[in-house]
Amino acid sequence: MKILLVDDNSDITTMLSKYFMMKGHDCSVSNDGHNGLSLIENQHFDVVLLDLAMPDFSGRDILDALSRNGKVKQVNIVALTASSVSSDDEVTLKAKGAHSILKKPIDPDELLNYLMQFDVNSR
Amino acid sequence: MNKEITLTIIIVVAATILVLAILYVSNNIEVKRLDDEIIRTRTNKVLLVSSRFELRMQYLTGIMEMTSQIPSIMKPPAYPNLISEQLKGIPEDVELEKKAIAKNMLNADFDLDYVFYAMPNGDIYFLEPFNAQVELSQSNFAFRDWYKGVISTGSTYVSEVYVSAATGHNVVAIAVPIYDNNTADRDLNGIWVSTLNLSALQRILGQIELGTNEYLLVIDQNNNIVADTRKAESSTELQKIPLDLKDQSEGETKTTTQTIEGEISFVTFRSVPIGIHEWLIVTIQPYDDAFSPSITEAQEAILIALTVVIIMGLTGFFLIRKINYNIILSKKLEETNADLKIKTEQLSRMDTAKEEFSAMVTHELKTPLMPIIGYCKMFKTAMFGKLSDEQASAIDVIEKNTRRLERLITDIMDARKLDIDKMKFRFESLSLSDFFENLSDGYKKVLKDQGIDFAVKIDLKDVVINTDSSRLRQIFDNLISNAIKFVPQEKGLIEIGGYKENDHVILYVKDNGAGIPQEKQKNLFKKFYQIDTSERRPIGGTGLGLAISKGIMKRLGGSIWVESDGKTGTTFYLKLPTNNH
Repeated sequence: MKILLVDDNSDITTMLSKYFMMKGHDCSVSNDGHNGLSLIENQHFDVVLLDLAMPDFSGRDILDALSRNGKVKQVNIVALTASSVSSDDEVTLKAKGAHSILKKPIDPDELLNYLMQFDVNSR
Repeated sequence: MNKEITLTIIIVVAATILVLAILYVSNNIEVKRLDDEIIRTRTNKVLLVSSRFELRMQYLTGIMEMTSQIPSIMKPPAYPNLISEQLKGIPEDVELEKKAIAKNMLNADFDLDYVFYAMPNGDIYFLEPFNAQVELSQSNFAFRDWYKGVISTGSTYVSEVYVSAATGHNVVAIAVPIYDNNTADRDLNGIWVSTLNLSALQRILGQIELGTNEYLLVIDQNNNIVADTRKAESSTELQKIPLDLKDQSEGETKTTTQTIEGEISFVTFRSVPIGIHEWLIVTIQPYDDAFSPSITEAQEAILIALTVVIIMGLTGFFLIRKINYNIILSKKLEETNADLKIKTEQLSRMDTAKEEFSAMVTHELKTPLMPIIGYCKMFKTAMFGKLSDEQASAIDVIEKNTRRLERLITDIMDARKLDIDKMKFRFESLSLSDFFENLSDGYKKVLKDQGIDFAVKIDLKDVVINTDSSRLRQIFDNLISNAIKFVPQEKGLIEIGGYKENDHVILYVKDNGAGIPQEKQKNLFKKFYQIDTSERRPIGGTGLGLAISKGIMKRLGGSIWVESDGKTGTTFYLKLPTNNH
C-alpha cells in the first residue's frame, strides 16, 4: 500500500513511517503543508494520513485546496487530530473530502489495521 | 427637566385647577342659593308684618267708619251747651246712646285707649272712659294732627304717632268726620275719633321670629320709630331713625345694605299705607349675621379648596419624588447593565480564552504521547529486535504509564466539559454482545499480565440499545482501571457482565478487593473523592472518573450505583434503558 503521511511533527512521522515500512508498505512523508499538497496532487497514494493542525498551511487548508480543484475525489484522506472534533466539524470535514477522522494518540497497529481498507491488494 | 416630571406637574396642576374651578362654581351656586333664601325669608317676614299691620289698621279704620254710620253717632250733638271746662266735656249721664257705642268699642279687643267725639272746633264733646275725660289736660285739641288732618282732608284720617299725655303710650288717632246729610252743604256735625294703642303693634311684632341680632322697626311718615322689637314696650319718647327709604320702596318689599350706627347692616323694608300716610316696616340685621349661612358656606368652600390644594400638592410632591427615584433607579440599572455587559463580555472572553488554552494544552499534551506509544509498540512487537525480559517489562511500564497519562488528560478535559456541560454525545444502536466482546478483547491480555483473573458473564444475546458506545466504554475503562487498583495482589478477580430486565439492561463490574465501607459509599460519585487506602499498589488517578461516569450515565438515561459489604468486594452497577430509540 502506498501511504502518504503529512504531519509537521517529525517524531510522529518518523515513527509511523518506520512502522509502516517494517510492515511492508510504501510510506512517503511530508512535514510541510504546501509540500504535502503538491505531493498529493502529483502522485498517487492509496491513502493519505493528514494531520489537521499544522502551522502555516494546515490539513484543513489542504482539504480546501483539494476540494476546490476537484482532486479530493481521487484520493482517500484520513484526518488525524489530537483535539476534540465536534460532530458538526466532522460533517464539514467529510464534506470537504475527508474519509474519516481519527484521534491522536493512536496505537500504530490499530492505525494500520484501519488503513488496510484502502489497500487495493487486500481486497 | 425630565419630560415625565413636567407632565406630572402639568397634570397635577391641571387637576387642581379643575377641582378648584368646580368647587368655585358649585360654591357660587350654593352661596347664591343661600343668599336668595335669606333675602326671601327676610322679604317674607317684612311682608307678613306689613300685611298684618295693614290689615289691623284697615280693620280698625273700617270699624270707625262703620260706627260713624250708626244713627246715634250721626245725630248732631244734642248738648253742646253742656260742655264744661271743669268736666272737659259733657256730663257723664247725657248722650248715653253715643257713649254706649264708644264703651262697646273700648270693651272689644281693639286696643283702643280712648274713643271720643269732638266738636267741629276741636273741643271735646265726650270721651270714654269718663274718668279719663275729666283727667284731660285740656279741652280743645285743635292742635292735634288728627284734627288738622280730618278738617283738611274732609275724610277719615289716621294721624301721626304721638305720645298720649295721659297714658304715655305711642298712639295713633283714627278720626272720622261726621257730616249732616240733611243739610245741603254737608255741615260737619263733629268728629268721631279713637286712639289706637300701638302696643298692639308691639304684640304683632313680638310674634315674629327674628334672626341673630335682627330687629324689626315700624317707622311712621315722620321717621318716628313707632315700634321696635328691641324694646319690650313702646317707649315714652319717639325716636327718629336716620333712614329714608319710603321713596325707594314703591310699595314693594325691597332690600338694601347700609351702614347703621357704624355697623354694615342688611335692611329689608316695605312701605305700608296708613290712611293717607305711608309708614315703613323695616328689618335690620348686621350683614354678617344675616348672611352667616352663605358666609359659612364660602368659608367651608375655602377650607375644602385649601385641603384640595394641599392634597394635590402632596400628591404631586410624592409623585415627583417617586419619578425622580425611578429615574435614579433606572440610571443605576443602566449603569449596572452596562457594567454587567462589560463583565459578561469579559467573562465570555476569559471563557473562550480558557477554552482555547485548554484545547491547546490538551492538544499539546496528547501529541507527544503518539510517538511514545508508537515506539513502545514497536519495541514490544520486536520490530527493533527481540527484547530481554527486563527490557520487555520496562517497555510495559512505559506503555502503562503513557496510557494512564492519556486517561488523565482525557479525564481533566472531560471534567472541565462536565462543568461547562459541553460533553458531546452521539447516540447509536449498539449491540451489547459486541460491546462486551471488544471490552473483553481489550482487557484480556492486560489483566492476564497483571495476574488478575478476568471473567465475562453476559446474557445479552441480540440485545441492542440506543446509546453512546464510546462514552459507555469510557465508564467501563474507568471502572475496570479502578478495580485493577483495588483487587488483592494474589487471586485478584475482576468480573464484568450484564443481563436484561424488563425495559432496561443491568451491566456490572465486580472485583474482589477490600470493598467500600458503607459510610464512604455515599460520597463515591462526588468529584475529586478518593478512597484513602493503605494498599501498597499505587493508586493514582484524579478521582474524577466516578463523578464523570455518573454524569454520563445520567445523560444516557440511566444510572450507576455501587454495592459493597466493605469486606469481600465491590460491584458497580449500570442501568440503561432499552426502549429509548
